Amino acid sequence: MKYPLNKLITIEKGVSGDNLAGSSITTYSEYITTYANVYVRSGNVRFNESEELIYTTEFTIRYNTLTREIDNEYRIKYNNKYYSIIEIIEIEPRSFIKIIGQHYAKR
Amino acid sequence: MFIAKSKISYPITLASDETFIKRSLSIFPTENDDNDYIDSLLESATDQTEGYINQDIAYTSNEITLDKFSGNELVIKQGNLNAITSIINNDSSTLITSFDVRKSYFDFTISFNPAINCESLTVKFTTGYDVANDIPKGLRQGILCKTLGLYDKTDTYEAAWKSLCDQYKLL
Repeated sequence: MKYPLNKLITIEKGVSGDNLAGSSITTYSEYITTYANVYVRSGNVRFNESEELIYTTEFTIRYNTLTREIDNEYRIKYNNKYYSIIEIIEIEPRSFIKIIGQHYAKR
Repeated sequence: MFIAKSKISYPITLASDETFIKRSLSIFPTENDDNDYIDSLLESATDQTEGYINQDIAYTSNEITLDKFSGNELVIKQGNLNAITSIINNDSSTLITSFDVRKSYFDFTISFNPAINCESLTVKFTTGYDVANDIPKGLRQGILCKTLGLYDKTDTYEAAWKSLCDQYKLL
């Protein structure tokens, strides 16, 4: 196998809506659990009100009729952390998809 | 000797080997999107393996018609005999029931008692396996290896497929 798909991830689908107070809210539900190749590409520090660590991570998964639907409305759960999706690349047509996700940690 | 063949069923399916296939391909058990595709690859891998070993693996019906048969023994060079379906003397349209079959891995011999002398004889028989558990383990593993390679579009499993199947190959 070209990419060792040896980490289990869950991809959740987000649906936007309003809460009772009228504020916009996104509700996530499990979409697919699949094996992925996970590669932590970088970790950066961002200074806002507090210091934030930003981890950019690549998830390579198989292409199929479910995974090809994934876009920025989805998020990834891996090791009990949530990653927002910032980019999706079909690295091998109809074979593998690379999802680039970001995870924030405040300190 | 022309043998008319038609496939009845393929013994190795995703249902028979799902755990091994999905684990080997890193497909989570609840991911069923490619199930039909994997089943078609298993059939293709079975066909390719049959071509490699020159014997039927899929459960196959066969029909052979011999002109001017005379004798008490008929050797048919087809391995993996499953069962004789019927032997018909076409001269008199009679079903021949008095025979014995000696089966070896690469061929089988039908012994007639009494001997037969006719213008045309039709033998129908089945070859291959109708359930996965009857397939020799090495051959089954070879077909699974071939399927993994077809799914991942890689030659990585080719050597393993050949070495597993070589022992069953009719030269």
